[in-house]
Formats: sequence, C-alpha cells, structure tokens
Amino acid sequence: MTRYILNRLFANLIALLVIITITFFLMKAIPGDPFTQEKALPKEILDSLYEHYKLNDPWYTQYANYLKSIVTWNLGPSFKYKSRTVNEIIKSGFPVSAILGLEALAISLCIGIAAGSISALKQNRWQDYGAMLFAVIGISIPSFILSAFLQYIFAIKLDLFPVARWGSFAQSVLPALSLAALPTAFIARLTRANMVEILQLDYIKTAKSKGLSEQKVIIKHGLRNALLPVMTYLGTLTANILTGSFIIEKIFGIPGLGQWFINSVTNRDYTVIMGITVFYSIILLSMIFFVDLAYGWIDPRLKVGKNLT
Amino acid sequence: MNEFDPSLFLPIEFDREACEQIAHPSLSYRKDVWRRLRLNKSASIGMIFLLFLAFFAICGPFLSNYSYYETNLALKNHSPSNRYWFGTDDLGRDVFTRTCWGARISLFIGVTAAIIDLFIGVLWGGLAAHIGGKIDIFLMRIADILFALPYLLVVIMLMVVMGSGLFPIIVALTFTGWIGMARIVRGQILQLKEQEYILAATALGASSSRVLFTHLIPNAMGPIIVTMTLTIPTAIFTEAFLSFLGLGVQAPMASWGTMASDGLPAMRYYPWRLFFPAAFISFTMLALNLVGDGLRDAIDPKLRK
Amino acid sequence: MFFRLINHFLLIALSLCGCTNMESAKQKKVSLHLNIYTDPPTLDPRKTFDSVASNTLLFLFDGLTRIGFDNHPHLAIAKDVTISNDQKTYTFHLKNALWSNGDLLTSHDFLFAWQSLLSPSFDSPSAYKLFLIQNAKKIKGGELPLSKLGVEVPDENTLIVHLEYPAPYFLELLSFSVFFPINQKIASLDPNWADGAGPHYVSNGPFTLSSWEYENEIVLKKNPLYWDASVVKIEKVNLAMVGDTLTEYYLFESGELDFAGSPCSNLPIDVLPTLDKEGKLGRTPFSAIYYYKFNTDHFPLQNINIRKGLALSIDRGAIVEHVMQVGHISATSFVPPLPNPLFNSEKNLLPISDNDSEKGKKLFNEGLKEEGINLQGFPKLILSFNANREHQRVAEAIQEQWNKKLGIQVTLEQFDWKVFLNKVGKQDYHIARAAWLGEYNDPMAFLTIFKSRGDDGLGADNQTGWENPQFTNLLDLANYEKDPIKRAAILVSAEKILMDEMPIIPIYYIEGLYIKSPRLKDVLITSCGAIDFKWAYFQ
Repeated sequence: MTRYILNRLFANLIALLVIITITFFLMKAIPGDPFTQEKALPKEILDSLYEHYKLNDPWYTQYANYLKSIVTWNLGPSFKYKSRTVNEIIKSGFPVSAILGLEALAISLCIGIAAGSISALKQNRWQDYGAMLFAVIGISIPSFILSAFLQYIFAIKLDLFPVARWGSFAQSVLPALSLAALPTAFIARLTRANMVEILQLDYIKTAKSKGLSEQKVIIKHGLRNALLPVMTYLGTLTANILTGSFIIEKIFGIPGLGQWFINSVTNRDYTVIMGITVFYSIILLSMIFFVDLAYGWIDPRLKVGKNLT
Repeated sequence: MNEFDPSLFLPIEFDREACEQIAHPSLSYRKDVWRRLRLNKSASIGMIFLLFLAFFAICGPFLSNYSYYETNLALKNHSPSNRYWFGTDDLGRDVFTRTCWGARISLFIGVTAAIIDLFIGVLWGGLAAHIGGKIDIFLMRIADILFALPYLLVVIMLMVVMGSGLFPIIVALTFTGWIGMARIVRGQILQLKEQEYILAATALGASSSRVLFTHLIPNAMGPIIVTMTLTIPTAIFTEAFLSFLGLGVQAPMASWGTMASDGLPAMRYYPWRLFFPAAFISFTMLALNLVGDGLRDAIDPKLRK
Repeated sequence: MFFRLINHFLLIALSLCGCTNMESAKQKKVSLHLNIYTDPPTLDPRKTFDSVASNTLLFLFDGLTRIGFDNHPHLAIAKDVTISNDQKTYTFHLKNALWSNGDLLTSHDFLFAWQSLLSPSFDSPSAYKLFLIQNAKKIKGGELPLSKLGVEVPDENTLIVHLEYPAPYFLELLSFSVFFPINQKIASLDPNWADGAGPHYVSNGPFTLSSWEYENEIVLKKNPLYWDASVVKIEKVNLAMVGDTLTEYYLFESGELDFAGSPCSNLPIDVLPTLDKEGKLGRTPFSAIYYYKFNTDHFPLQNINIRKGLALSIDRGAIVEHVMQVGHISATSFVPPLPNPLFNSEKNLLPISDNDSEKGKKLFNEGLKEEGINLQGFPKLILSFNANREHQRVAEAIQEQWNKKLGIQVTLEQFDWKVFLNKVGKQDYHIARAAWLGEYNDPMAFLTIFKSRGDDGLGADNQTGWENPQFTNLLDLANYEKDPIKRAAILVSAEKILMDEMPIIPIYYIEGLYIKSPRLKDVLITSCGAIDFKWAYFQ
C-alpha cells in the first residue's frame, strides 16, 4: 500500500510538471500577448513594457522562472492587474468560489443521492418518473439559461432573493442552485442506475427475507455499492466546483476564481494563467488520488494498490 | 401427521421429447436487446420522438419558404404567426427554419461527440482498470493532464491551427469529453472484476479481451449509458459557450445552444426566441434519456426479465 | 450556534425586503451606486490604459484641466494659462490646492509624475500621450535622460511645458489621467502606494479611496480637502464590478444601482426599445465611429471602385434602426460630428448618398470590369470580427445586404479578441470590423490613424495598407497652421481624400445609451467617453 501511495505521488508530480510545461508553451504559442490592444502601442512603449515584464528573455529563462515561482509559491505579479500578485488573486478568489461550491456540493449530494435512491426503490412508479423528469431537466438546461431564469423569476419578478453580488447568505442561494442543478441530476441518475441493478441482486433479497427494514437494506447494503460511480464523479466535480464556474460568477457578479481564470486567458495574463492552472491541478490531482484510495474503503472487494499479475 | 391416500397422486410421465423441447425461441444477443427495447414503453416513446426529430432536422428546412440566413430587418422580433411559425429573431430571420438547421448542427455535434467520447472513454477506462498496475497509473495520469490543462487555451490553439468549421469544433469538444467516461468505466470495472463470474470466465480459459468486452463492459453498461446521456447536452452547451468566445459554429449558422443564448436577454420581450431552441434541447434530452434507459435495461444481462 | 441561526435569518429577512442599501425617500440621498463592469487594472494614474481605470480615477484626481459640460477643457488645478505665440509653450500657474492627506500640491508633483512614467523601464502603456512634449519620445526610448524633459518648474506654483509642435487640443489632453499629478513625497517613499486603499493612497480629487475589495467593490468618500469641495454634493460612492450587462440592468431595476449603461458598460440591446418607449433612456453623443477596414493589399480590394461599391451598398439607416434598435447615427464620413461646430461644416462627405443601390452597384461593376473579373468569379471575401453579439448582428445584416444588392456572398469569421487584434495588426484579413473613439475632440484624432501605411512604425493603427502622400502632407500642414478656421479647412480637404479613396467603410457614429435614477442630476458624460460625477447630486 505504501508503495502504491509513493508511486502515485511521484506520478502526480510528473503529471504536474507536464501540465505546467504544456500550459507554458501553449500560452506562448497562441497569438496575442498581454499588451495587444485595439489602439496599437508605439514601439517605444512596447519595448519598455517587454523589458519591465522580462518578456524579452529567452524562452528557457522564462520557463525556469515560472518553475521557480511555482516551487517557492511566489507566483508573481499579474500582467494586467498591476497592483496585485497572483497569490493575492488566488487568496481572495478561492474562498469565495469554495464556499459557493461547497453549498452546491451539499445540495447535489443530498438531493441527488436521495432522489436516485427513491427512484430506484419505487422503480417505474410515479416517484421514479417524477424524479427522473426533474433530473433530465437539470441536465438539459445549460447553466447560463438556468441562472438567468432563476434570477429573473426569483429575484426580479418575485423579489425573494437579491439579484446579484456576494456577501450574504441570501445572495448565495440562487447561484448555488444554478451550480447544483447539473450535478444533482447526474448524481441522481447515476445512483438510480446502479441501485436498480443492485436491488435485483440476491444478497438484497437475502437481507429482505431476513426481515431487515427497507431503510436498512438500502443504506447498509444497497447504497454503499451503488455509490462508486458517484464517488468517481465526485472527484473531478469537487475540483471543478471549488475553483469556480465562470458563467455563474459572471451572471451573479461573484468575485470568485472562475472569472479570473477565463479572463486571464482572454487577456493573455501569463502569470495568472500559470498560477491558477497549477493551483487547480494540485487540487484536481489530489482529489482524484483520494477517490482512488476511497474505492478500497467503499468496496472492500476492490484491491486498491495491489499489483495484479 | 395426516395420512395421504397414495391414489391422490399420479406420477408424471417421463417424456423424453418434452425435456428437449425449447420453450423460448433462440435469440441472438442483438435480437434479444432489440426485443427488450421495443417492449419498453417509455423507450419507445423516446425513439418515436427521435425519429420525428430526425425528420424535422432533415426535411424541416424544405417545409418553410425561408432560409436560415435571409434577413428581413423590418419584420424583426415578430411573434409566431401563420407566416412565421416560430416567429422571427432580431434580424427578421425565420426561427422555425433556424431551429431546423440548429437541430442538424446540435444533433450532429452532440451525437458525434458522444460516440467518440464513448469509444475512447470505454476503451481507455476499460484497459486501465483491466490491466491495472503501472499501466493504470500511466493511462489515468495522461487523462488527468489533459483534464487539468486550461481548456480555453487549448481551444483557442485548436481554432488558430485548424480554423473554423465543424471538424475543429468536434475535436475541441472531444479533446477532454471522453475523460469523464473513462473514469466512470474504470471505476465500474475495478469493482466488477472482483466478481466470481469473472474469475469463472478466466478459469474457463477466456482470453483477456474476451473477458473485457463480453463480460466486464456490458455489465458496466448502466453508468456508461447514463454518462453518455450527459455527454450530448454537455457537448451542445460547450459549443454554445465556445461561440460566446467566437470559437463555435460561424455566423449566420446557429446551433440550438447559440440560439438559446442569443434569445436569453430577450426573454422578457420576445420569449419565443429562447423558448423554441430551449424546448427542443430539453425534449431531445428527454427522449435520449428514455431511450438510453431502455437501452441499458435491454443490454444489461442482469436485468433480463 | 443559536446566534448564528438568528444572524442567518436576519440576513435573509433583510435581503428579502431589499432594504440593505436604500435610504428613505424623505432623507436626502447622498450616496451613489454605480457599476464599473470590471475591476480597474490599476489606480495609479501613470499606469492606466483602459476606460474603467480612467473613469474611476476621475473621481479621485484632478488634473491641470477638467472637461466641462460643454465638452471643452476648463482650468482645474491650473489657475491660469498663458500660451506663447508659436503655440509651443504653455505656462501654468497653479491654484492653492491640497492632497487628501493635507500635503501641499506643487508643480513638482506634476513634474515627478510625468518624468517617472517616461522612464524606459516604467510600466506605462499610455506614455505615448506625452510624446508631444519636447524630448518625451526620446526619453522613453532611452536616448535621453529624464532631466531633458521639456518641462520647467521655476517655483512651486508654476509649470512651463514646451511642446514639439503646436497642438490646439493640448489643454484637452491635459485632462487625461496620464497627466495627473502624484504626491511626490509618498510615491518616492513607497513605489507601491497605489496597490490598495491604504494610508499611502493619496489623491487630490473630489473623492478619496476608502476601500478596494478586489473584483467586488470600491468605496469612495467625499474629499473635504478638495479645492472645489463646495460643489461636490455626493458623500459616498459604491462602485460595483458586475461583469454582465443584463444583471447590471436588473440591479438598476431593483434599485441597487443609480446608473446603468454607457460609458462604463452597455445596456442589453433587447431592453432598449422598451426603455426608449417609456422615455427612460438617456442618449449622449460620443466622438466615436463604428467602421470596417479594407485590407487594400488584398485582391480585389486594391480597386477603389470595388471598395466604394461595397461601402455604398450598405443601408446604414436600416442597421441603425433595426440592428442597433435605438440610438447611434448613420455615418456620412469618417470623422464623427464634434462638439466644436468649426469642424462640422461639409459633413456629408460620402461621395454619393447612402443606400443608393443603383450607384453603388454601378461603381462595383465598373470595378469588376477594371479588374477583369465577373460576378461568378468574384473571389471569396472574409468579413472578420471579434466574438460579440452586436458585431455579429451587424455583420450578418451587412452580409445579407451585399448579397441582395450586389449578388456576392462574403463569409463571416469571428475570433477571440486578441487573436483578432493580432491578425488585423499583421494585415492578415480581408475586411475587418473596427471602432475608434477620439482621444480628443479634433479631426486630427481620427485622421492621424492613416498618416502612413504603418511600415515605418508610425501608423500602427492604420492596418489597411492605404496611404496617400497628399493626405499626409495636409496633416503635417494642419499641425503648423495657427489659424483655427484655416486649419479646419485643411483637415476637411484631407478627409475628402480619405472618402474619395474609401479604404474604410464608415457605418455608424456611436452614441452612449444609459438609464439613471430620475433623482440623479448633473451627471457629465463627455464625448470622449468619460463620466464625471463631480457635480452630480440627488434631487
């Protein structure tokens, strides 16, 4: 097991390095730089800017500088936002996205798993159809439409919630719901799909015939095995949702990391792109690693970390 | 204990022929799947809707007098009428015709992306889980790397290199679209390969690939199909998101996603511009999900009734 | 735990009744809520480039001059100005003004600001605006030391500026943020003084920087030490940073914003007709034009008749009325109407009246004949623009107009913003969308774009490959013409050349469309796209 963990950590570090390298070259290769503007800048200005931001150095020097900045976690100043550093940007944006993300995660997990289980239990009855109908709606309405819709109905027409911005709990409700819609639907359907199969299996019949209550049957026996694909999905979902959704943050005026990331690519803000990519990659790789370890816990039959000959 | 009169019992004739009689017609795997699918009522409704949709996409443009690009500025933002069945958009173009064309584009993009994602994802995840060990770590880290790259950056690069058109969009969508499927398949197979019947199959001498394709993957069909029914709308919406940034289908052509996002700010005043593309997306997804569920019920050997 | 629950409930209740920010109608309203769409990249006046930063800085700083309601520069920090006979030397005497921390404002503060931003290693994209000052360009290029800048400071209240060439619009230029003074004492002490709303952020304008939450909100408070504080009626300003135009409009509707739309952002096109009908829409003219560029090096666009044919076959009226729906004016020339009536004579400079399909088609066919191609063999032309719904709509409408009137089908292509700029900058396009906002209210601000082809590093904004020696000569002549009437006439003749050769297609003059709370009065929106709340008040 230890050997497996070490192997994985080493592989994750290599993966991180590859991500940094590819991102660096992609960034430099696409047309446009931080200073490309509609009003073209005179040569003297461009030269002075390139000097100031060390863009005239050879590519390997710039690459080495980025690696150094990542290792020391001193990610450098933003090219566009001249008064702040990438570290400050992440420090201010991440908690906002994370809180919103956690709210959405909580909603998705609770409602998703509950709805999926109930559907599976009452297969082909009205609860099943009803829940799955909602699930399909959750998947088939894109987040930008759902956000605008919720905003219009609940904030403008019914005046139940604030229109936008961030700070109070009420301001987080509509964005969290918009963010949670798709994951809830997907989790519900995943749960149902697996539960339906498992509920047919012999050991469930055995448990029922032993006289166990329906609830105990589901929770103790059915759910645990059915949750594996949900766990798989949860790994990447958590990483994505914690680092923010650009669309939801833009529509609701939330100062999170998601907007930063997309805007930095459009602005070609090199340091911010690198910094946020690395930050996100570390979270992502770690979450996936935990999920893999959790496989073994959820289903003891799964031999995690043992080499198969 | 009661005494039973032996004369109350009659022995059954041992009919050798009756033993050999086959009560159930012999069906190939495919025929069996089709039969089960047909019998599923909701799946059938879904299939009928999809057929209607195909008709709509292919023949729709011929039914109307208008093209998808013809503007008529004075007639902009008209509500649905006899002349314009779905109303007009903000340049006076016929929403009905544009929805038909949108069907072509969105369905093509969605289905193609889903099929590619399915093949790559299932193979990748299946191999990783089945072979295990260092190959597993290696394959999945490649997936992680692709997933972690800033997507927008990759897409801009793709567009710069390949230009515009449907092919670059499909590449952009499938670049990371298969990864979710691969992970889910890998998870399922990791779980399934510890089952006894796999051990039995291996003991009976089944080759590794046979085990993978005949036993493991069909039994993982549940989450595979559910994931696939998520891939299609994701592809459609990602294309709409990309066109926000100039990287989708080129104007004046529009997909459902683009039409929906264009119709969004006009929701209060000209709701039909949002309603029709959004409704079509939702109903298509519903139909696909019904068919998908039915397909899963039909394919999965465990659910055979 | 219990208290937290109560807290949550209170917050929900408060936000339910939406009373977090409102003052009762009886109370005098003195706080302004505005959305500036994005976070300003910097609040150091020397480093600004975009309009978000410069509009925010207009709250915080005051320069030698400030634009007034007549769109003309008025003396601000400057008490008086004397201009030499050759119009190359400006002598300013300063008012007795203070910084927000009580320090005396002196002419040294101006010199320090300008010198520091002209240093070759200083990050100042707008430094080129100072290039008309003697030696400034060479200093930025590293050829001369900072001390050689053509600015003298004989005493604390006097500033003498020497220009390279006469520029009648110099007083207007001085109102821009790049010319603002900086507190020399603080800035020398702490180079990072502008990085946040700390004690070192010292300014000299109507408001001070109270707080700056990144990506979220900026709060400004009235500056009691401002030299003109008596005219400032607003006590507090909240600047929100919501990057979505529809959400901004909703925030205005729900009363959380007092102002929405241009120039800080835009109103969604689809809400405009209703607002217009209800009489709530505000319109303000800009010195700005929306146009298309031709790549005159690309076949067959090097032919003048083909270009004119394409330009005249556009129904600008239909675009303004139906595509843009409200506001904006069909363009009849490249230089938009300017506040100074001197420049607006003979404005109808398009060779033939707009939307004249016969004449447009005639010219186009002549061009075809000259090039020896026919309609069937017309080469594929690509109309490029950056991804944006409004640009797409205009392009789609024009594509159809050319199709119907000339029988050609151009292809539309949209690009990511910087990819687009990069392509156009390299002249890698056929027809491209463009827009230009005049930096100052003078035809020179527009005509100077085409001064040269751009190969010599001068005409970097041209990008059409067009140049005309006669045109360039007229512009040089205008620079040294002291009589304003004669100068205006020279500029009109230069514009005539531009219109006769049509390297661009003027489409419409851009107007600013906004809505504001009916109680909010005296908001100044300048024709160069700045918004000034110095004199604003709530009734």
